[in-house]
Amino acid sequence: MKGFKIFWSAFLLASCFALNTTESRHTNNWAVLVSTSRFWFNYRHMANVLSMYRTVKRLGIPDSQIILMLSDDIACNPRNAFPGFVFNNADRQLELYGDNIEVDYRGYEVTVENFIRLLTDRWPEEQPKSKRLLTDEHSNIFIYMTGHGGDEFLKFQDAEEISSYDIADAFEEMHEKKRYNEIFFMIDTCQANTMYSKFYSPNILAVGSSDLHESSYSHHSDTEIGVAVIDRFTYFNLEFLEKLEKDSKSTLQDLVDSYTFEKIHSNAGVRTDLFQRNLSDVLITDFLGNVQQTVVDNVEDDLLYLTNHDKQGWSRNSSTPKILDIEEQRNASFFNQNKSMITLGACESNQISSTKLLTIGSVITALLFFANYVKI
Amino acid sequence: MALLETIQRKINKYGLLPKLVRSLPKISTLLTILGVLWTLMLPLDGQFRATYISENALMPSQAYSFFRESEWNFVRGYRDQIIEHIDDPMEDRHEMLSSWLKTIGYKTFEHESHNGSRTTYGIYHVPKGDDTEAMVIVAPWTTSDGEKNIGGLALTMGLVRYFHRLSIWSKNIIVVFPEDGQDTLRNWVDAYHTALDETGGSMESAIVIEYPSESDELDYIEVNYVGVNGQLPNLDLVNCAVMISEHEGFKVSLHNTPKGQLWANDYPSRLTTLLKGLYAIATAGLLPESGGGNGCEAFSGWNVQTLAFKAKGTEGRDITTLGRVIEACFRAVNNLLEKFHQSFFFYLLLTPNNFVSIGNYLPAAVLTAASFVISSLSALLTNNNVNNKHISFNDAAVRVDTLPLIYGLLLFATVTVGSIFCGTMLMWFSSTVSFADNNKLYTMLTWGLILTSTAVSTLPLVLRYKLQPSAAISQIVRIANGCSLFYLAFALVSLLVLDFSLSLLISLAAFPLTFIRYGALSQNRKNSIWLILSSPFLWLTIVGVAHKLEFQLDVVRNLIQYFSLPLLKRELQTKIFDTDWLNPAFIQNVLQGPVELFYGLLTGYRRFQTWTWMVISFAWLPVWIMSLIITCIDVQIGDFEKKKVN
Repeated sequence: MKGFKIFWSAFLLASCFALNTTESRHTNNWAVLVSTSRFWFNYRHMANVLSMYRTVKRLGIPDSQIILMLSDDIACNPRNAFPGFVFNNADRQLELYGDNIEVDYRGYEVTVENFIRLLTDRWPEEQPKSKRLLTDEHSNIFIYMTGHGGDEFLKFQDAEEISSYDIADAFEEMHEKKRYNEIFFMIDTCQANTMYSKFYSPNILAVGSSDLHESSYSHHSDTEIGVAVIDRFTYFNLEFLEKLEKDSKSTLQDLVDSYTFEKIHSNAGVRTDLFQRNLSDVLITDFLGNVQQTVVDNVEDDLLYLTNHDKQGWSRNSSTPKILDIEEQRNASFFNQNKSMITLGACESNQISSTKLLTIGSVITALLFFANYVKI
Repeated sequence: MALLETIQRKINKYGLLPKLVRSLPKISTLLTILGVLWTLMLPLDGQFRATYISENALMPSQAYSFFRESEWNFVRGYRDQIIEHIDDPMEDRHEMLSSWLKTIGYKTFEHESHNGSRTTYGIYHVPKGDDTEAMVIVAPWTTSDGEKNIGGLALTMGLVRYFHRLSIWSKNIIVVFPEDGQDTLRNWVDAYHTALDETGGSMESAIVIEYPSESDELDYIEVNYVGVNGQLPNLDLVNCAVMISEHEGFKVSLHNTPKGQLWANDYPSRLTTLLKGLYAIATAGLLPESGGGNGCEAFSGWNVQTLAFKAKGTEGRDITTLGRVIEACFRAVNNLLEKFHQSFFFYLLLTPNNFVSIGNYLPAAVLTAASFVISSLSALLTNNNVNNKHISFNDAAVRVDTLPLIYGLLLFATVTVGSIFCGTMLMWFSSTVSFADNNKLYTMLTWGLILTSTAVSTLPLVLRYKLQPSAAISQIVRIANGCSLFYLAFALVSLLVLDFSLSLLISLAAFPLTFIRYGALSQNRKNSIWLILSSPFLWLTIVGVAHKLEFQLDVVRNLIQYFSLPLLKRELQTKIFDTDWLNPAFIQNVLQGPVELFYGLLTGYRRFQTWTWMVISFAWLPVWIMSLIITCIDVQIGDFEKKKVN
């Protein structure tokens, strides 16, 4: 009896863990997008971050959950031959600045202090909600940084630096404050992989554009604007992400597999040891999207066709259809709809039950252990 | 301590210290030789570096230049008009240019300088910029060679018209059309920074265009960059210009390097460019009354990075290519966020793409200046008195009495103050007596000074008199000699960081002064040679005549590098036999060389704030005069006589 109890509790625990590692448990998505360098000749960093902004927005993260830190206003730089526009490609097919962007931190507001405060949410009372990262323990956060970096540092504004320790400690504080469920950290600078080398908090996945002592390169220049418009690593990330839709089943493994030295001209790195799940189980949209767990029913919408044709697809010749038949069809479709609704409900209950199951499992295990302990 | 003591004993035992003191003149000579060798070593592989763009904001040639065929039509149109009106009075030409500029959208103004010459200038307050900085484009009506700058004016008009249509400017654009690129432009630049009401902010860069031809094409570009007093534009701007020019397919010539040498990058060619650069920097800002110079002097001293583009040849690439080079230079400067500061301000170019930085070349001038320090020490330690020759040196015996010290210093001070006074008086003279009206006076003055200086240099040969032997006299002479040499060394050292070339060349030219010895008059005959060789007026003559004869170092290099008898014959034929040396007009012209140079020296400070004459008359000349006086004094006894008597 005792052996059975132990076995049973072990089984339950194992199932809990299994649940934990295969399926994302997040309920909301946030993105923090940071460009850290100023000046006209760093046009590409602003273009990088605006491209990422566009992508996460396209994949469903609302503006209210995107913190965009843009260190310089190149769209309105006098040197810009296309005033008010920012492009990330010399073909200039896609304008990134538009009239629908919300910059949360701009120009000299993009500082190391503000970035750390943002992550750890240590603000004075007057800090507006819109400029805060209001995450909880169910939040998946995508953090993208670009700028000029070196061995374990990233330059902010040509004036100060953030070190890999600073970010690692900020993440730990976030972890202790239960401010995230999982973090996907992406960085595109020279020697980028050194920036995530000091992370030690759980559930963080990090990718970087280049190894220690490696430069990250720009992809191409626009000869009319006269500057490089995008970096290689970001360019090829975007190339991959652009193919995705909100319901895409592509996983982070697919994304990581797309990084090759031939394309990026530097050794892009991935750090998975802190991350609990297998990358091939993690959807890209777990971080870059905001996908609700809903299933859309397939309502048979062409009622006219259904009315006029029989089940074999033969057209009914009688000019006045039998009311009964129509009734039947309607019932059928209603039934279908009901079925879909039920499915929807089931899905929801399934979701609830997975959490419930976890709780129940833990409670039972605890009880069994307790029983074991008191030798009942 | 024991070790030190042993060393000291050994030094005493072998008499090393006296030996060292006696060999100071040799050390001094050795230092100068080392300095020269150091300079000659600079063009060796490994001693110089390839140029690079240091400021990453510049991004030269990253943008596509659109100054092409359609703009060529405008350039042609402007050129036709300019050719038609080039001989009109300046007022009419001003009206013409300002009406064009106004039509385009520039605010135009006129500035009249003290001597009545005029400058037309236009400002484009760029709509998106913050109106605090400006880039300047200059096309003088006459080039530095005295030709009509037809192509330059037309191209500049085409460019400013085109610039007005671009929407990328963050800095204002100022276009300047002075009557000439020397005094008139300088006057305008001075007025811009002091008096003018209508300005466009601080000037970041200036580009002077000289293209005298009426043709549509040019072969290569000569880039001039040397400013006065050793001031050079930031190396980044020079690099940008070179890089952009080569990107557009032009070869770049520095310091009038002939076309055949533009592909050369070997030791002789690099050395030639280095020496020409040294000479150009040292003699910059000494302009004759009209024309001359390299086009960059006008902006020198106002912290404006200036380049002068001279179009060479009449076929090859079309005129819009030069326009694209200038457009790309402007876009590069426009990209700047701060003043030029990243790259070097002190450098020597060996080829357009190779340079020596200040840390590498400075030791050369340090060595030659140190040579004077050592020789002044040597003079104070009695080496220069020939009466001491056969007496072994004993440091205890060097005596300095108070009265002779005072007399010696007074003598030196009087000579220095006198020279400074005369130098300043000559400067004042040049400012009140116009050169054009009193050419004869200036000719007489210059050649009078040259001949007088040569004549007095021979005084040690002809002087015959005897003085009462006196230890005081030998002390006075020793003090005066030592102090004057030290004064020159001090002046050269203080000059060498700012104007390396001038410091180096003066220290080499004045180097024979360290050979001057004094003693009984009959023993001083050799001093005449040293005095003549180190005379500022000899060098004035040499430089002036060489300038008039259009001496080219490249010819010498060519002769040595590819020596063959036919080549030598040909060069001798063209340079010497074909010249009508006895033609009075030719002689007249050659003799005017030193006169014009002297006028340039005297007026340099007033016109371009060139210090060269001050350096000469405040440092070199007094020491030379002092040396002359010393050699003319009959010093009968050495510095150890007295001790021996005791």
